Amino acid sequence: LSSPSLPGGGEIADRFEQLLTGARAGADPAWRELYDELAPSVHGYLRARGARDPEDLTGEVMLHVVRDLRKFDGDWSGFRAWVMTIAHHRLVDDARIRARRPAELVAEPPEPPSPNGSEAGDAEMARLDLARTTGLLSELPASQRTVLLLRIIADLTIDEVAQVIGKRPGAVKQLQRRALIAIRKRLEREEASS
Amino acid sequence: VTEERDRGELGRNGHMANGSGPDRNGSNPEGGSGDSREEMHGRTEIDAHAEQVLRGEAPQGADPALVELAAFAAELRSAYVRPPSDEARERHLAAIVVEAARTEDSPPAAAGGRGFRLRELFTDRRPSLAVRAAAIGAVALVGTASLAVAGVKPPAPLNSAFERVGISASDGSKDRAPANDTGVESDPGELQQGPDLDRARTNDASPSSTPARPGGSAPRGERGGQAGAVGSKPRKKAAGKTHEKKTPPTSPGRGSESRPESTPPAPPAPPKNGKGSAKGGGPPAHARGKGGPPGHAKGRPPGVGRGHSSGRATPGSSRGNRGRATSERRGQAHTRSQSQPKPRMKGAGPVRPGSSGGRGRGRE
Repeated sequence: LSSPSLPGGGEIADRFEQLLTGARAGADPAWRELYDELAPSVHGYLRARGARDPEDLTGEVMLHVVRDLRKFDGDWSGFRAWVMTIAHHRLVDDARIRARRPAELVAEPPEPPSPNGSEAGDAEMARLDLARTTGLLSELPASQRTVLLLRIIADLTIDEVAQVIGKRPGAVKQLQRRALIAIRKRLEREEASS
Repeated sequence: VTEERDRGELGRNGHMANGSGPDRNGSNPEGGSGDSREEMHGRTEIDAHAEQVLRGEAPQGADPALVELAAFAAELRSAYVRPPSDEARERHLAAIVVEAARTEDSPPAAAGGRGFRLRELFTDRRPSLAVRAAAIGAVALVGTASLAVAGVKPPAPLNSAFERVGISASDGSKDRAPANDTGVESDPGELQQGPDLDRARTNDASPSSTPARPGGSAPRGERGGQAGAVGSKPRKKAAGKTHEKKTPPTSPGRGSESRPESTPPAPPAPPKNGKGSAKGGGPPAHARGKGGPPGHAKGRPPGVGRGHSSGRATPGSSRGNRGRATSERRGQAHTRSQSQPKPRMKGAGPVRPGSSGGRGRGRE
């Protein structure tokens, strides 16, 4: 994937230095732009990994980014990898906290208003797709799942994923290959059974 | 060899001859329709098109399985890559703005902070010259202050140097002398106030005049055997001097080693713990002196060193007692000590070389 384009014109990768300077100076527009670029990937990764409250965790990740921005030095792709590293660590922390504390029972959130007609059909299809995708992912070992999600959702390279999870690029490549082979086999079985 | 033998066995069994027999892994790499060949092919294909597949793009003319795989990646991306809700977004952005303003106000925590410098000072193997000089200066300052607190009188040249720059090195003995001084071994030039001084000098004159307080810290002082300076604060410095003059040369060492020699014949109350007394210090009356400079309270004579520190180990010489001590009572103690023959209390008792624990002063 190419770097996302901005409404202002050029790609964010080209304007990243300027954006970073603005963010370090506390400029509100710079932070909004960075948030809009990064939050979907962070939120998606946290959701796919089963975080308890992905939205809140996303906010925590972004606050962490704000606090530590002075320590960062690099380009846009490095910045994204750095943010995803923070997200990954926060996710690990969240899992540890959850393991220590008993689960809290909360009220079921209200159901959103059901759409009509074709909208309902689309929503149902989307729900089925999500369930199927989640089912495929859940069959993978955690390390393979992490690599695949960082590669697909966060759009990181092999080296960046290695940096995030603290493994060697060769190991990441191997994990990615095994994950893809496992999913492919599963898809083939599904096709054969249908 | 094992491989060849296996092959031979397989050959004899006929598996290898027709090319359809399984190998040791259960699959037949020679077979035209074996699973492993497909796996190998699929693996190579995945490696070749992984980047494209992960982007959700189906490679041109690729295996249908890869197309499915690319569709899966696209589904995954569209299903999960979504921004937080608008409400959450506004909340997050508000928090980010506040946090950014706070971070901007706070000084950078990078290099140059106080903690960083301290860490550098203690971890850097080769600190800069300025750091070394600062460290040496700090050590000298702390050392001087420690000596001052301990009541050690600086040498005359140093003292005069201090006074020249406007620093009074006096420990306040002159101010307190009239009330407290009963110093036996005080320097005649410095402690000449009050009638106690004469008495003190008289005590010094006789070898048995070492202060020994019955039931008090006397046992400790006796055990120290090196009767240090008489204990009240004002006398402290002077006492040290006098001891230097009158005490026979003792060698450094710990009081405990000299204990047998200096232990009184029949102490009124045996010491409970040997720690304080073991180091052997000055006479008990000194130890009880309240508020005296630490050095005096310790009453260690030259050569005795840190010896009988503060006398807390001796029964009857508790701090509480010391707290109640007055100059009058000390005077009585001296008087009593004069009447009690305790030949070694003066600290002049035979001390074998290396027996006293005197550091620094012991070398004097």
